[in-house]
Amino acid sequence: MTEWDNFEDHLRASLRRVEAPAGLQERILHAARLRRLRRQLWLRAAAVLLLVISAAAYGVFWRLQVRARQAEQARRQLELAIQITNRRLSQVEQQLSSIGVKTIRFEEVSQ
Amino acid sequence: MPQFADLLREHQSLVYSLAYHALGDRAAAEDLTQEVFLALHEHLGKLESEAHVKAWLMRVTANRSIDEIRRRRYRRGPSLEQTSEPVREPLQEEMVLRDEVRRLVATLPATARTILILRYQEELELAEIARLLEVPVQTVKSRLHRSVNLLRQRIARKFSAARAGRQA
Repeated sequence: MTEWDNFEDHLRASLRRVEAPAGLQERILHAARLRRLRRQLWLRAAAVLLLVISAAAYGVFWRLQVRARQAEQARRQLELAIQITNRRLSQVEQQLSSIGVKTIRFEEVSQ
Repeated sequence: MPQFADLLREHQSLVYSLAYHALGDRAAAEDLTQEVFLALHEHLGKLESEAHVKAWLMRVTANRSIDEIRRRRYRRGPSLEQTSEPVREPLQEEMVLRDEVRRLVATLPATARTILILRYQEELELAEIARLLEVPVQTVKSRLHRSVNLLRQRIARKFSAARAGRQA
């Protein structure tokens, strides 16, 4: 049984390297290109989505700022109106004092 | 560091052949080769030299082949293209012997099969195989020894029976 003497040689011959089939290289390159394109597409979509979300967030923030400014303006106007009213009331009080009116009865005023 | 296309051209047969001998199926070997190279495409920036690339390719191919063998065995048993029975023509005996060796290699457990292929296809040292598969050298040695002996016995039995049949 001399053929079994060098069984390892049989193993080497049986398991020798086989060539990759023609076209496999192109198929892999094509798949790699597709994968790269797909990733770029996803990255762009993600960038656009991020941009939209940022714009929406800025929009909400800007709107809140406008409302806060409007509220502040309204508060100042109210304060000014109160100050004017106070000043006017003080003047009326002084005028009444100057003509000797200490108290005003509601019934007399309404008449 | 060479470009991806150059690495593919240089190493496609190494990867394909490892996968083919491990899986015994051309289509599955092509698919696995594609998966491995697409993974390489992702990892290329992390590998320092062509020697690293080659070692990385062998490790990833071996591990994915082992996973695939186990998955197939779980699903429907080993898939073999080399299922031809020996033809009893003396002139073709060498070819038949090789087919039979491949067929029997495909019946070995996943890790033992991969060790055998790395040893006899790529002529790797036991320490290199151990490093690639991340197992102790002693494990590689014992599995290789056991696998070779098992194959030798099975082949001897098969061909002795065939020869006895021819002589009768």
